Amino acid sequence: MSNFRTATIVAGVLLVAFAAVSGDRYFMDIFIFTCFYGTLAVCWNMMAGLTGLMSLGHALFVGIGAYSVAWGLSVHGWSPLVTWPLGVGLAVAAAAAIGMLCFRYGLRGYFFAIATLAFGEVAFFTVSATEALGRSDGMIMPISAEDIPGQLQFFEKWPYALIIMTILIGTIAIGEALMKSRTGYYWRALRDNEQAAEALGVNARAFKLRCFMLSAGISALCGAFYANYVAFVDPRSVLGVELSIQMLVYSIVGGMSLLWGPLIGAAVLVPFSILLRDYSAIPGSDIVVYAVLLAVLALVLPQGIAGWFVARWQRRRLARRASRTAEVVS
Amino acid sequence: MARLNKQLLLRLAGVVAAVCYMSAHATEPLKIGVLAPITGATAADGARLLKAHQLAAREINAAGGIAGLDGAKVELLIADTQSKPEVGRHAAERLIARDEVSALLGAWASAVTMPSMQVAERYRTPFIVTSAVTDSITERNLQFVFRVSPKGSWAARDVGGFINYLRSKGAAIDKVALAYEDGPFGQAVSKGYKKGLPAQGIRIVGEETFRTGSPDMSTQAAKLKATGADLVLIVCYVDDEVVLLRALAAQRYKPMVLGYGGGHVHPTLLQLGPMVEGAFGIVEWMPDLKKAATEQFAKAYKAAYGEMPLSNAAQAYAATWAVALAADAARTRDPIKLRDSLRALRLDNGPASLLPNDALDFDAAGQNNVGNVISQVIGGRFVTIWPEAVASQPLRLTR
Repeated sequence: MSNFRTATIVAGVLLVAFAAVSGDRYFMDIFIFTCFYGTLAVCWNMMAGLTGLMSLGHALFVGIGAYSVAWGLSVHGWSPLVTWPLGVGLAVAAAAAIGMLCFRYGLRGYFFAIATLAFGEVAFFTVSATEALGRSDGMIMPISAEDIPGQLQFFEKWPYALIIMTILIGTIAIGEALMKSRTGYYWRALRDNEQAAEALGVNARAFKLRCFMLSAGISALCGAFYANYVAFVDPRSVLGVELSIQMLVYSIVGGMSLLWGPLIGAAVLVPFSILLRDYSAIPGSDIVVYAVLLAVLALVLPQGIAGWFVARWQRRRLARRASRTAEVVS
Repeated sequence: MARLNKQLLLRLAGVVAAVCYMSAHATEPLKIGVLAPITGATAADGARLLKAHQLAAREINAAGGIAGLDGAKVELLIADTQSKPEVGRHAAERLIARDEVSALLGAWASAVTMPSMQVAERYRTPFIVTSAVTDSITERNLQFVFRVSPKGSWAARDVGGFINYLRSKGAAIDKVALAYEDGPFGQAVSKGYKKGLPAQGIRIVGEETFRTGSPDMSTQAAKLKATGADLVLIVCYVDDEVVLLRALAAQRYKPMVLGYGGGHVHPTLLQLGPMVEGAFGIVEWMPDLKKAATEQFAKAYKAAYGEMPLSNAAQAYAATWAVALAADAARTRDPIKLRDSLRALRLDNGPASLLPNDALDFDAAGQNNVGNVISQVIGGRFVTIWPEAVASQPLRLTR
């Protein structure tokens, strides 16, 4: 189990949180969206924080997953057993195509970010103008009065919570396994110094592509979940650049150097922004408070909340070790 | 003795609790959730909607509340959607789960309305769509969704009906041209025209598009003139229409024109003076409709807020009244019974009947069968001229 220590801790915390909010639909909804954004931020940061690939068009993959489910169900009546793999497959293929183009021409850093942003925006405007996908109005998915587990239709929220929790824990577990494997070391090497890594024989293009495809696949899974949960997709919610920015914000606030850092960012910011919005007396004041909080966090904790905790903890451990050594010497 | 006292106390406590409960229950208001954009890109529209909702609630409460619920007051629980689908959806979730509203009203744009009404559908709470026009809202067999506004595609149906009316009045309309802004709004409406009008025997001979905010449209005007169209259908925002009408006048081309919606029936357009005199416009509602309810509403709105109401205000007002009257008729706060009551509702008089159809009446799909009206600029003012049943002035043919 020690190989999956983070995943185990995350699973434990999630179960406690799940038990705490179960029975209250309102808090359950917040919990589900926290997990949703948390998963997206974690898989986005696998690229940005751990491999050094800053994507600004990740909403594209969420959108592919969401639209596969919405289109498949409302046009053909396909079950999630078909549409989820379809969405993930299409997203992985899209990531492979975009990745091959970008890495073939050596796009790095800002240039890779701009390229992904462009692909995302192209998809946004294409879907917004496509009649079969409901244009900018979006697609309504059928809802039945009865629960249909096979179509992932539930009156209660807890089944949705269990699904997104599973996806989140799975994402952390995969990330953790990879971080301890050769792939993970290569990714970090590429992030820290791509030329040096290549000089040592790391196939940069292949490993970056692998990271991109994995991240895109998980994003599409989240998108598919979103479509089934909300029963409505529209370009702005699942393809808009705002969604891509959200992944980035949660990652930065949580801490980009750690696999689970972005999850902390989402766990702090998502409930905070929703509760602030719902219980602020003056409309719009929540946006101001949220913005100020982001600015303060960026100034005070540049390494992110999780990064700050880990640094503190390590410092303390070092201090303890140093004092113990001092005792032995004296 | 001590035992008796204890029993007595318990009984007393029980009586007090029951009285408290009953009195609290008797005055418990009918909670109606309102989703509106209070901040964000369409905040101005949201503010207007709220004024109409609040006017209706004030009128209901001033008249003694809801008689069928022992005089319960209407309480509006207003939630800001920020014009964002996700925020609107969560607000609907909160109003149903937390505040236990009996019904929801809203939510301006279609993209915000649809996820919100999906929540209402899942949690079995009636949702009255006040202004979103996307056809599919009432075409998905949803059991808890109602709509007071017309379907978007009905604009083409009504324009076709009006053109045939013009012909019957002796106007020679043989060729029709389209001019529209090239964004989603212009594209969607013009697509409806291109699909709906030929089916009604109306020939479209040309179409011109422009980017919204274009400073000059003389090219488009020249091309429109070259088509020789008798009637130009315009779909755009008011500033574009001003530029286009000026360009048409500069070409000495004087076709009939028919603008679209709130972008046409806008005070700014009237500044063109004689250039815009006689121009038609299709719109969902006009404050001068010849209906008693409309007249009263326009007067009350003007008195309360010092401005004339727009069509979306009328729809919001009708929806608020419809919920109150449905609750009154069925003597219920229960969302499912309220839904059944809304289905059975037919209001051909009273405040909720201010829309241009005979009666506010939801069909099996929850759609209010309401058409659009046609306005004309007569004497520098927008007046309703069609359908004849609600026209405030007769049509004026200038040519």
